[in-house]
Amino acid sequence: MRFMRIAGVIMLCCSLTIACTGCWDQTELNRSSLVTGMALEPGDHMKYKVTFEVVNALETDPNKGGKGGTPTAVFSKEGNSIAEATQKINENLERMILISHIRVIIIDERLARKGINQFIDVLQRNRYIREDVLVLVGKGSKASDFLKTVYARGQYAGYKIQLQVETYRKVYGGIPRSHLYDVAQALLTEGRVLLLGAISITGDVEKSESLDAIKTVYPAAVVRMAGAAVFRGDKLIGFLSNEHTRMVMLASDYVNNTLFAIPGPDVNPSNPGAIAVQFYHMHSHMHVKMDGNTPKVRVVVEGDGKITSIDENIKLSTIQGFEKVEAMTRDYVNEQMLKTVSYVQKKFGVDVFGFGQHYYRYHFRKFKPFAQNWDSYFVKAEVKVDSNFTLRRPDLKTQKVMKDGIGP
Amino acid sequence: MNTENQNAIGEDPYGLENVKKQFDQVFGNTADLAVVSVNVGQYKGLLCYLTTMTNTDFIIDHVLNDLALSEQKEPMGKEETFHLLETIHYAVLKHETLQSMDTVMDKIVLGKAAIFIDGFQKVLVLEVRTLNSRSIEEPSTQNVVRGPKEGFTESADTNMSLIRRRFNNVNLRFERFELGYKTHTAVYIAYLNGDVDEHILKQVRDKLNNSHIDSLFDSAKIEELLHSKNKGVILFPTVYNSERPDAICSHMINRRIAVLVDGSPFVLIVPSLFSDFFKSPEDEYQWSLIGAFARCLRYFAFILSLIVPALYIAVTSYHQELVPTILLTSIAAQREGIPFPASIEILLMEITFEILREAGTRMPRLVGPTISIVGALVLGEAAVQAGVVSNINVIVVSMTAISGFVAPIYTFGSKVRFFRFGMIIMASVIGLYGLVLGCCLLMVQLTRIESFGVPYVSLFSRWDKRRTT
Amino acid sequence: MVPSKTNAVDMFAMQLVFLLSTSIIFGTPSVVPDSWLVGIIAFFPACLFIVIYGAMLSSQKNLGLYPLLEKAWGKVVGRGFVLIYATYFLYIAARNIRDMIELIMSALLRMSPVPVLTTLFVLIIAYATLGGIQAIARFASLVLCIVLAMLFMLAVLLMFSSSIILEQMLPFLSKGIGPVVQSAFQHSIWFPYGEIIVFLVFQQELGGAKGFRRVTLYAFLSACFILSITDLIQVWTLGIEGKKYSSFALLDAARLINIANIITRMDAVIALIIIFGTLLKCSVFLFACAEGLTHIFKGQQGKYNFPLALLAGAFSILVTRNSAEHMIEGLKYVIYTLHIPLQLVVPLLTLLLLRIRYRKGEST
Repeated sequence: MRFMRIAGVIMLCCSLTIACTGCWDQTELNRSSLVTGMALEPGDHMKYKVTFEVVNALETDPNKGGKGGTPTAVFSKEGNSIAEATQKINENLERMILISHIRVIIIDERLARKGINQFIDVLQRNRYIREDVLVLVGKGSKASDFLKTVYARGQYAGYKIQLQVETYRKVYGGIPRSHLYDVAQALLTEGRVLLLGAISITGDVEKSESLDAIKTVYPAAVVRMAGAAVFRGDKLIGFLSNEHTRMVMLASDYVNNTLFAIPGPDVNPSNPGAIAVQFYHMHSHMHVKMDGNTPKVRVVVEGDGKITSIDENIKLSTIQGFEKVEAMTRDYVNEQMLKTVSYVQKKFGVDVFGFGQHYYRYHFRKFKPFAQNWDSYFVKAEVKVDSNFTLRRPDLKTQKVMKDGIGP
Repeated sequence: MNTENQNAIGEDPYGLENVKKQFDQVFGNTADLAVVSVNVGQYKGLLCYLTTMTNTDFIIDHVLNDLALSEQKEPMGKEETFHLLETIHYAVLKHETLQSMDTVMDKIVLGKAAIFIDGFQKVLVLEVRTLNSRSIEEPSTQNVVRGPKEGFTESADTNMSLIRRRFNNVNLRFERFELGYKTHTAVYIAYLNGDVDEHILKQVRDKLNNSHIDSLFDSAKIEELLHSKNKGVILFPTVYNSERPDAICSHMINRRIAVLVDGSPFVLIVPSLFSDFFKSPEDEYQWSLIGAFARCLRYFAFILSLIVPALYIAVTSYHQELVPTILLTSIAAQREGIPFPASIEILLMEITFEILREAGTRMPRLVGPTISIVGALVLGEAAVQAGVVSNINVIVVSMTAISGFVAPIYTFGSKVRFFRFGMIIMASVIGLYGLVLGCCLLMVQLTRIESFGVPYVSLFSRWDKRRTT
Repeated sequence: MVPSKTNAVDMFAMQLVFLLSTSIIFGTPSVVPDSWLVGIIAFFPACLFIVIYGAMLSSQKNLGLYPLLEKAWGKVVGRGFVLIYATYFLYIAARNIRDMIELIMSALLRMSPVPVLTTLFVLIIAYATLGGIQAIARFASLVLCIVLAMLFMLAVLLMFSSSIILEQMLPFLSKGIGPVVQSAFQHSIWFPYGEIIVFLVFQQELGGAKGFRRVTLYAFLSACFILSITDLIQVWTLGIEGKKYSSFALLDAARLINIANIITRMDAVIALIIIFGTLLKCSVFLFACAEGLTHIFKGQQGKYNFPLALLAGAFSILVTRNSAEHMIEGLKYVIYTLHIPLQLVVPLLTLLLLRIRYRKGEST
């Protein structure tokens, strides 16, 4: 009983002391601002220029309506390290910034070419930055410009870009997974180079900065997906197109859902008919072995899908019809895949597919001697693609809606 | 023996004059004391009772008529007369024979009638109590949709009969205690002999016997008495109370002891465990899955009522990273322009709610609705409109309030809210860490409590199920 | 008061939470690639502890650790050992508090002063110990449910956010079995398994040698299983390489949870598990320490709890300067200078002495 009383008194004293002095970590929401996007580019006077997209919360609330101001404001600061520039942002901004809700980090192309290793650490070490934040490379324009594109619904650019990247990857697969932890993983693991998503801008950024841009049907500037940025080590060496990126992702089993438009059987150059095949469940795996110093890779792609459109009349009520389309898809995908492989081998000479990683994981001891110089072996790799597609159903029609003709 | 007594008539304390005098001395000139001279057989006698405690009609019909012994023609001795009354005329009435004046007085206070025969040293005390109490009604606190609608009343006799009727079992025991040295209130403990733990029974008896209270008007005081105080500051009730006989009986089946207090419709149950306070009698009358679901819901609501406001504070002013972005922007938009920090805002609204609730229970029933109108419209709506508090705050506070009312036992919910305030303070000082520490303290507290030596919270051993297997 | 014996399940829960609490996040050092294997390998030598401690208990009619020491070594030396053990328990408690505070400071808070956080925590520990070992055991069973539920939830959520990639645990045994076995013997059997010695103190209340052997074996098995699973989850989500560089791997794994952008950032849940677990572990240590002091100085039970708790709190802050020093001290020096002598050598010698001094049948 006595101890209880003492404990009570101590507790009381503590809570009083705390209540009188405390609340050290408190950051009130109405005294701070959310940051949804971050752009990194080389500074004019200092090493880096960091641009934040800061949300003006009142304007985003449809019920309160706000005062017709912009939902976001963009602030930039230069510094010799990212952390320094971040801390100095309050030279311009009155509120504390909450960086825990950053959705995208856009790295300027110029900065990426110099290497990302020197500044990526601050992003990985900081616990407020999410591990699944998107790290993208801005192609062609200044990184800060991406945060200045607004359109009618995309209230804040950061959120819009994130959603766009995710949706695009989900339905088409033309952009690599490029979360912050993917960066760490790619930089750490053996036998695979870093691929980051690339985005570019079409249209006029100058016009898009103003709110008037929201009021038009045709947005003044739009952020578009631009495939993948290929790195050697931590330095950007080039970009892959969307189509190539899709093939790379397909080989490494990151594509689930996609659509192939296959040139029709009798290609007529003036009017090439096409067959569209939609796949819902795609899987791939690879087998890597070394034949002397040449890696021999077999990529197996499997898919389960349906036929979405055919411009030629192939009878889909027959087994042969399906088999024909399946065979065409197979040939097309194999051809595209091989094209991509040889393109990457010739143009970049780095293993974006992760053949080396696979070999490292499954044949650790055999991989060891090649680990140092894997990319030079990758260039010589002989790749064979086996694909196996199953088309399940032809949607609502069994053949193209056209007259069969009655006469002979 | 008889002759000796008659000789010493002057000093005989049982002489009628002396008896009257003694009554005057003890009761003073209280208006409701009736000391009536009657004939008992061929002797003079006195009939004494309190008019407020007895049923006068009953006395006239059943006591006075028989007293004259008119059919007895032959003269007989006092002893024989007394014996005749005791064994034949009043045999069906509950009666007892007393020899000491003091105890007679005490019995009269309890609403009994005493019959004196002039100079005879035995006094016949008859049970002529009036049952002038509230009839059995539906209980007002624990309502059920399905199940018995009887509720306990203020009369312990009625209550005992309500329990007895549910147990046609010779093992049901009632033990009588008298508590309060000014009120002499009857307190009964009821239990199933053989099922109940002797240790616990002994503790309950000791506690009742060794109480030093002066008055007892409701079982709440006994509740305090039985509350185990030896294990720290206790904010959780360890004594269950109910107005429902079925609830009490179902607990007694589970090896509990019931405590009935005359004058209180709330019957207590000891020992009570944490889980008892989340059971409603209705759970047993429904499909078991529905009962289990309702119970889970109650636990969940209990946890919600404790931590929701604290969690809100911790998350919005310390750990914004835990909130989904869209939700956070929406909260931020609402908090824009609110003058107070989130913690002050919540405390403000919580205290307002407590005041409203206090006002609501104390107000006369007719004025009650006014409170809710003022509370809901003026405070809730207007405060948000005026920008003093945010919408989300009102949601949080009302959610907490509703969850707090889910507990089937009122006293439980009303005690637990103190923890809520503690949590709010902890969370507003050191965020989630404080909240978790608060939860730790709560759990430590819960597990430390013992109710009559039975662990209050024990996940893996059920005390009340042990012996039935 | 009915002398209610703690039931076996509560007892098991107490030991399991005790084993899991801090080791779930600090347990297996990530110096070797296949750290999940370390836990499994360490389990077998760890069972040796059960044998030794069980033999100690059964040799003297289930006396607690402190009376046993006195019996074996004589009054003076025995008391010296009791003091050493009490200090040892207090020190481990302090280290555990420090572990937890490190986690809190890097996962939940950043500016709050550490002494305040520690003080609040140790006061709750002291309060928990006042209820006696039974109350602690009941508390443990609550904590166990929470911890298991949270871990399960974590695994399911990671699965749903498709962060679990089984391939990431390859290459398997890239450096051979050698380092794995070495790490098991260097770290894992001493911490957490060896720390079970603290339960010898309460054996009189907890069921004696027979109960101890059975319950502890089950607790070791479950702990081994759960620790390996959590380790595997870490490897599956972070990859072997990612896990290596992470200061709190499980925390980092939890950060990867993202379900439709709604359920994100579950690292707070991990912090919660750790706080609960550490609270229990420290309560057990503190209670054992207080028992030791009561045993020697014959004070009233509960007299030392609050001062000792504050002392542990103060130690936890003063013991090392930064996290690196803390880790190195824990992984190297503590094991060789404290764990091995006090968990293995002294008990073995005690057992030997007991066997010599009290032959079969002579023990009274």
